[in-house]
Amino acid sequence: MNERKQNELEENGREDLAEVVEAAINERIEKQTPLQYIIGEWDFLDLKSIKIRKPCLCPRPETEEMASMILDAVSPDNIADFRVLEIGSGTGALGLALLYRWVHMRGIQKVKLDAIDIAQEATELTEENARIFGLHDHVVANHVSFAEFMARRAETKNDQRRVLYHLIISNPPYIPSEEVDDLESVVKDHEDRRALDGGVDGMDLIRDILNGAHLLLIPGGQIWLEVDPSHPKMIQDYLASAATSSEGNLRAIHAERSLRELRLEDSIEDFMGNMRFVKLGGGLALMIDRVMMALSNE
Amino acid sequence: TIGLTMDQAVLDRLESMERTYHELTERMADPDILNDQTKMRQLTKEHAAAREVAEAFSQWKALKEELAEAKEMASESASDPDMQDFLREEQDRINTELSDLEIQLKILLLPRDPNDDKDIMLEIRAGTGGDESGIWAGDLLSVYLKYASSQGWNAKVVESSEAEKGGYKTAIVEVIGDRVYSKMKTEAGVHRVQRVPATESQGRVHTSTATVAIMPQVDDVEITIDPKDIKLQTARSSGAGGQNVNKVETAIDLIHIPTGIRIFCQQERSQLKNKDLAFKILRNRLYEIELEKQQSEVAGNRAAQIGSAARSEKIRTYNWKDNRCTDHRLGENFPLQQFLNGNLEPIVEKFIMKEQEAKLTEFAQSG
Repeated sequence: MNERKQNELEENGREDLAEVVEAAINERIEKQTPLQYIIGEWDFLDLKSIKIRKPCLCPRPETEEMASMILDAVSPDNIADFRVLEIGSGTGALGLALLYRWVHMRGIQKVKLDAIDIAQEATELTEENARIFGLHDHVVANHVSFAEFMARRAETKNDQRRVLYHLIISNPPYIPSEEVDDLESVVKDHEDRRALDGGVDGMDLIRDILNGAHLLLIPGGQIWLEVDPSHPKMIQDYLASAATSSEGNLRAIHAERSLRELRLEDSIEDFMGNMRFVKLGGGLALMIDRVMMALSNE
Repeated sequence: TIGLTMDQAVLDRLESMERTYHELTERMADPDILNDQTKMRQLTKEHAAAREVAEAFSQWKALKEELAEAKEMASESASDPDMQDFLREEQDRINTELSDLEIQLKILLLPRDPNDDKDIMLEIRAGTGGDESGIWAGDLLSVYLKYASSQGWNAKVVESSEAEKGGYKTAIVEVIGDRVYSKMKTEAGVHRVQRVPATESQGRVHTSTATVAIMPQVDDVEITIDPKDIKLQTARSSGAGGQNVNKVETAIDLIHIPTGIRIFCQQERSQLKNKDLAFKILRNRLYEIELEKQQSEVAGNRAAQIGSAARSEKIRTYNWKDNRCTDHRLGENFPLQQFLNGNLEPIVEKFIMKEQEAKLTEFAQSG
């Protein structure tokens, strides 16, 4: 047990450390409670002792790898007002790790993170961690589903209140529903199912993000997603098959065209050799989108 | 006293170094650099080195002026015998100081070991002697941590494998600070201890050893590693990974195939940090191998060889009964307790002096 936890326990008058340790071991072995929940923290990139609480998803090393890749691929340098959107922030690990590097280690101040999650606990935990790591001024955590988030944006009459993002990041639930029940107890019985279950093919939220990208992304911006290894191909197919129909309203037609303009720029293996990360970017259509949004009366 | 011929070439060189010092001072105020920890560390080292020369040179120039003034006053007061005596003494004093300073400047102008300012990774391995060698390795670790603390360095154990009966089988410490390599490089080699081990029940004296390696920290520009040469294993079982699995075993097992170097890193809770650490250790080991190769190729360069030992060379014997530690390269004894308290300065200073003497002799011989 690390020193801090030990001190905390001693402060709470728990003299008998052996009792505490034994209880923790039982919790771990019998109930298969994730160690991060028992200890209440872990490390993620530069975030030492980030707080982790049930039922938020415990950050995985793959996500850490993605954070590292994003840091190599993207930099807020020379951008007046760099905006990041994180969909499904959980503990806040991913977005906060990026911000920590940029704000505290590189001194870049003009970075903002909008973090959304459908779980109240996640929103609270993201805020708590943002405070702990001195990033509170750079982070807004919202308890809202992606669908609701997009709906609210659509209602906003004032164009200026619809910000666009330079970077969209997500570790969306990506496990096919059927497979969730086959997972080990330590995962399935303790972590928020909503953070794991991605629908029949695991692509539900991913598809929503792709559909909404043209309304969110600044031209030249990047989208980084952690996915199931079966997904890169499915994403490629989904983007390619977005048909242009002559029916439906202008917006629908345009949405489909924009989906085709969204490019799968790269799919990258994780350290296990699984196709784990996708990087997407937008083309010219996204710029036209901006113009169209400004011109049309929603 | 050996003076330094301060001809125009030398003066030009010193002026140029002084300019560099001022440039470096300005660079250190640059906000871009201030925010970049790596660049700042590098710059601070260069700055400290440049300052030494600049300050010594500045002092030399001041003394030269004083001397000129004294000479002027001497010629003005030719009729005053007391004044003449006083001024003569003054000139003698100043000349002595100038000589000393010129020796110092000479040393500073000599080519330095490019690794002297570098941070290091210090590796201690138990050698021969079974359990006792592991305990001895632990004792050495303790000594070096104390020494690092006394020098104001930052020392952190980054990898360790404990020995069953106490101490360590191996331990790697990252030491960061001012001129760490230059002071620690003479610790490299085999340290032999003669004492009654804690595990010994019949009071017999045993001899056991531990090996210390000092690896200057090198960045990826200096040593490049081909990803194809690396075999990396993690605790993640093969198969799904990602959201499907939650294992907190974040250990990294890294093998560098061409050299067979194997590094097992489980210090950090972040797998990525363990991976970075493993690669850092690998780079430093590869650099050390390079260095050894280079140093064994250099023949007859006394300055380079004083204190730098091959990994297998016995450099010191520590004898408990006689309360002393003998350095075989210096051929001198030092109080054992002093060493165990982490006070290595007397030994380090001796080596530095010897190194400087050798360099000066070389300089004198090369005309």
